[in-house]
Amino acid sequence: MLTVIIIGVTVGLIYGLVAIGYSLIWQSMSLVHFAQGDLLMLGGFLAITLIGMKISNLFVVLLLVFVMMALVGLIIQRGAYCYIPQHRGTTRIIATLGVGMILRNMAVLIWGTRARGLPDNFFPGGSLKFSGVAIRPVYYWSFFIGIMLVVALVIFLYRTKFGMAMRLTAYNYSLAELMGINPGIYQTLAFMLATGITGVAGILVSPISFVSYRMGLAFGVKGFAAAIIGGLDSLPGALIGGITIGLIEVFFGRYISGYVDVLIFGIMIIVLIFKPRGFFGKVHAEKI
Amino acid sequence: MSNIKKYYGIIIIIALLAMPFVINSYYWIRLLTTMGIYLIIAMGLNMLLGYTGLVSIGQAGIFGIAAYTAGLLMKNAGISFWVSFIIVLILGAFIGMFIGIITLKLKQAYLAIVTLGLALMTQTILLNWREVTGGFEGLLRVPKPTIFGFVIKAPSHVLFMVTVFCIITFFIIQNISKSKWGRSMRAVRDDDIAASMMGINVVKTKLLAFTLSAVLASVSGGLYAGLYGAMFPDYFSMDLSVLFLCMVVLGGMGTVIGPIIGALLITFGLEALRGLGEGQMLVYGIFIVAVCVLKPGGFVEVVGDIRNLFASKKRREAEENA
Amino acid sequence: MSENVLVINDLNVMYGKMIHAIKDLSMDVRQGEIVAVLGANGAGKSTLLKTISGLLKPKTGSIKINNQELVGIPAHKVLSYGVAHVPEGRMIVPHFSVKENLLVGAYIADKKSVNGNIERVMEIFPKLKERLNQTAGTLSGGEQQMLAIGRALMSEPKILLLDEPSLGLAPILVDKVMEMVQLINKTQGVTVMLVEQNVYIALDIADRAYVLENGYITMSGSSAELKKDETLKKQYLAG
Repeated sequence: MLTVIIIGVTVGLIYGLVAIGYSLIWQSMSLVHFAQGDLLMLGGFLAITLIGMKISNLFVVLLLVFVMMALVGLIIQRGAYCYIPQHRGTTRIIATLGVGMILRNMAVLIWGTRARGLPDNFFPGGSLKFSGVAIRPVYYWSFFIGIMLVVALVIFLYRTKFGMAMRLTAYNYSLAELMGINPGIYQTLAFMLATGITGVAGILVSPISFVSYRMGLAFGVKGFAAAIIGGLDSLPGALIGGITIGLIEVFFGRYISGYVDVLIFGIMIIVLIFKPRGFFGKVHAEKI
Repeated sequence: MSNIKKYYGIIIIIALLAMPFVINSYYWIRLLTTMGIYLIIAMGLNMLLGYTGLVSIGQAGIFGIAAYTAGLLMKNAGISFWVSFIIVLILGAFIGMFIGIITLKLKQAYLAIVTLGLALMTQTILLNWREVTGGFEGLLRVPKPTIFGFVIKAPSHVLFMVTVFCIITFFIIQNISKSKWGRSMRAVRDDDIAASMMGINVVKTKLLAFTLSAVLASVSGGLYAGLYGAMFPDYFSMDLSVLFLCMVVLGGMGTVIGPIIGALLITFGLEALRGLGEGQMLVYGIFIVAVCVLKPGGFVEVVGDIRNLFASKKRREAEENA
Repeated sequence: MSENVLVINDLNVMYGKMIHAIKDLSMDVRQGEIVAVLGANGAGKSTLLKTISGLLKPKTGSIKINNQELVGIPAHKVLSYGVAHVPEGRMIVPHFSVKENLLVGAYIADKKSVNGNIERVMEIFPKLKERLNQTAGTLSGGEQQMLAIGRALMSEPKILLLDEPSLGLAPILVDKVMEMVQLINKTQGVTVMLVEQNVYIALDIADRAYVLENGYITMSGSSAELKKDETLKKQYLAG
C-alpha cells in the first residue's frame, strides 16, 4: 500500500505541475494551452540531452532546463499567441494544437522516435528505508524537486512585486494598466513561468516512464484532468488535483490496467459538466 | 440559383462522377478516396463549428465508433453493408444527441476538452477491449459492400461510391445552410443569448448541429469499414480529429465550400510535403500556426481579400476614367 | 492664476464606427482645483476619464498634462505622468489584503517612499489602518472606495480622476468620502477631476464644473454660478 502511495504521489506531482502550468496560463491569458503536455516532453528530452553532455550536477540541469523552456515559452508567446485576439477562441485553440504538433515533430527530428530514460545512477544517494519499504533515490529526489518547484512558485507569486503584478494582470487586465503595470509583459512572463515549470517537471518522469515524443498527449490530458478537478482558477487546486489523479491511476491501474485512463477521462468529463470550476475554483468568474 | 450556375453545377457533378473511371493511377484514386471520406466528416464538423460555433476535437472518436461498429456487424454478425450502415447512422445520431445534451452549458474550451476526452476514452476502449475489437492488432477482413450482388472492391468503384456520398452530403448541407436551421445556427454562433431572445430555440439548434455532425462522421465510419475493410485503434487519434478541425478552419468556417477547400488544401498539401519525410508534420504544424496568426478567417478570407483587391482596383480605374 | 495641470483640446472619441461618444470637447483643470464633470448616464463622463487614462483612444484631439501630450501614450505608462484614475466601481482586488491593494497602487513608485506613503494614507483614512491586513473583499462599500482612493494616492499623482465615487454608497458614506476628497485636495494639494451623477454633492466640493450632455459640454462655470443656474436645477436637481 505504501508503495502505491509513494508512486502515486510522485506521478501525481508531475500531473500537478502540468496542471499548474495550465492554471497559470488560463488565469493570466484565458487560454487553454493544449500543448502543455508536449512542453513536459520537451523538458524531459532536454534534461536527457544535458545529462548526456556530462553535466552531472542535478541543480545545474534543472536550472538550465528551466531557462531553456522559459525561452521556448517566450518564442511561442511572442511568436504566435500574442497575435491572436482573445475573441477568436477557436483560432486560439487550433494555434495551441498546432504548437503541440510542432513541438512533437521537432522532438522526433532531434531525438528520434525511440523512448529514452535518464541513467539510473543520476540521482545521488542511496535508498531510503521507510516502514519496511526501500525508496530509491529517483523517487525521493523527484518528490523533493517537485515540492521545491511549487514552493518557489508560491514565493514568487505571493512574496515578490513581480508576482503581485502577475496576479493583478490575471485578475483584471485594464486595472493592471491603470496601476502602471504593462499587462502584455506579465502575460508573457506568466506563460514563460508555466512553460519553465512544466518543462522541469519533465525530469520527474524518469522513475515512472520513459520520455518519448508521444508522452505529451497522455500526460497533457491527465494533467488537464487534474487542473479541471482542482479548478483552473486555483493553483493549489491544480496540485491537489494532480496528486489525486496520480493516486487514482496507480491504485486502480493495478486492477483495470489500460482502462484506468477511461476512468480518469470519465471523471474529468463528469467534473466538467457538474462542477466546471472544479473543487477549489472560484464560484464566480472574476475575469474582465 | 441562376441558370448558368445550374449548368456548371451539373457539369461539375458529371465530371466528378466520371473522374474515378478516368484516373489511372492507383495512388491518386486512393488519395481522393481518403479525402472524400474525410470531406464528409469535415462538412459535418463545419455545421458544428463553422455554423454553430461549437468546437469539437473528437470527431475521430465518432468516426472510430461508427467504423468499428459497422465492421463488427458486417464481419461477426453477417449483417449486410447497407443495414449496418443505417444502424451506424442511427447510433451516430444518438451519440451526437448525447454529447450535445451533456455539453449544453459548456463554453468553448471546456466543450473542446469534453469532446477530446470522449474521443480519447473511445480510443482507449478500442485499444483495450481486445476480445471484441482485436486491440492494437486491429479489426481485419471486414466483408465488402455489395449492391444488387455487385461487389464494390475495385478502387475506382470505391472512389465512385465515396464521390456519390460526398455529392449527396454536399446537397444536404447546402439545403440546411439555406434553411431556417442554417440561420439559427449562425445566430447561435454569433450570440446565443441574443438568438434565444429572437425566439430561436438554442437547445434544439445545438442538438441538431451535434447530431448532424455525428451522423456524417458515422457515414464516413460506415463507408470506411466496408470499403477499406481493416482498421486499427491508433488511426482514430487526436491528430486525426485535429486534421478535420484544420480542414474546416483553413478552408473557411461557416461556408458551404469551406470544408471542400480545406480538404483539398490539406490533402494535397500533406502529399506535397511527403518528400520531407520526418519534417512533413513539422511543416504542417508550422503552417497551421501561421494561418492562425496571419489569417484567422481561413482561406475563404484570403479569397475575399483577393476579391477586395480587384474590386478596389476596378473602382480606382473607374474613378480615374471618369 | 495657477497653472493648468490638465488641458484637453477638441477631443473626439468614437465607439466603433457608429457611436460618437465625445464631441469636440475642450476643457482644462488648474493646479489645486477640484473640477466636476456632471451629466446623466451615457453622457460620456466615464468615457472621458477612460480616454484621459489611456484605456480608450480618441479619434482626434489632444490631452496634455503639465504640457506633456498623453494621446498616443500606452495606457500603462499614463500613471507615470502623474494621472491616477480611480475607476468606476472602485475595482479593488477582493482577494488581496488592504495592504496589498495599496502596494498595487505603489507599483511604479520609488521603493523608499512606499512605506511613507502607506503611513500617509493610513493617516487620511484611519479606517483602513484598522483593517490593514484584512481581505479587501470584506470591506464595506465606503471603505472600499476609500481604499481605491488611497491606492491612487500611493503613486503621488499630480491629478486624481475619480469616476463616480458615490455610486452604490449610502448617503452618509458618500458625505464621508467627499469629505476625504476635499481633505486630500486641501492638505496634499492633489488636483481632482470628479465625474459624478449626483450634482448636489459634486457642486458642494468642486471649485468649477462642466456639464456633459451626449458628448458635448453644454455648460461650464464656477460651482457657485452653476448652483444658481435654473436649467441645471430643473434637469438634475428635481426630485
